[in-house]
Amino acid sequence: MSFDALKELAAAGHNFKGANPQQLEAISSLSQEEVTLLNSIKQRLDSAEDVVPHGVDAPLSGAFVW
Amino acid sequence: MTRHSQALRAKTGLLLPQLMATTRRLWNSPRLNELYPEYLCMLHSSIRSTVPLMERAVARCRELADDDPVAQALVPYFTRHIREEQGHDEWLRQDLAAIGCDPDEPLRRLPTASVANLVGAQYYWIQHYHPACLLGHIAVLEGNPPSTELVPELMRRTGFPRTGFRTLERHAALDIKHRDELMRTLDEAPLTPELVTAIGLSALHSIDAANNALATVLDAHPAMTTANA
Repeated sequence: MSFDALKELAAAGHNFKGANPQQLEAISSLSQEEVTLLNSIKQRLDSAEDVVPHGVDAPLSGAFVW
Repeated sequence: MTRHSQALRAKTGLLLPQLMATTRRLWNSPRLNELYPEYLCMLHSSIRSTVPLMERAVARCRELADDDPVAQALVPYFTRHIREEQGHDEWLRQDLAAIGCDPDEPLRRLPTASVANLVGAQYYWIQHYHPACLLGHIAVLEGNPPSTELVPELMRRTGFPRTGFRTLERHAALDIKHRDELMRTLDEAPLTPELVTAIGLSALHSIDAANNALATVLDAHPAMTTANA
């Protein structure tokens, strides 16, 4: 059976609401290595979830620069 | 068919909300005056690796170029970008001096493990896999520039002068131009499926590591005093 990135990501709790067809196509093309990394990061972040002011002061973005 | 740049944006979009949330925690912190110098020190420890990383990447590209069309295609990009990125660590030292902090402080400090994780992974991938991996890292750090509203708002919140925010202010403009150039490079390079995956992995790792590095700033117990602290 072939690897299904969308299914694996959805099973780990990733949400694709609002993703357009091109974005979904790109996400579907994720490799197993990428999905494994994404899911392990998500699992760690979810277990350490604290109170984060989502949506507050949205224009204040950007902290890392190159 | 989805272009490489679009695919990379879709992949990183899965993790970027977390980095943006940590960023907002920093800029909305009631301790912002104390944390801003700590942020500048952390950023210095990352930015001072920008040019050396690209120098290592271009050297590796030249070693591989005879048999590797991707490495060959990336030499002009890295060469040009090295020139464009010179001296940004010095801007950070000037920012520190402008808010009354010792500009040599970042050079004295032991860089954190989180920044070593962010930057060190790139040295590994460049040396032991392929220098194209660095494109994923750059796409993350250069692909999410400071908003134009950020500096005026931080000035208002901290009372620090505009000269204390030169790094953020200049990158708000510079990184947009550089991001577009990187996206063109990604789309034009003859990337193999394996390298597309490697660049994606590098980008996802960089978001996570950058998030952790920023979180260490939020946890910092500031040792520096500023002009108006």
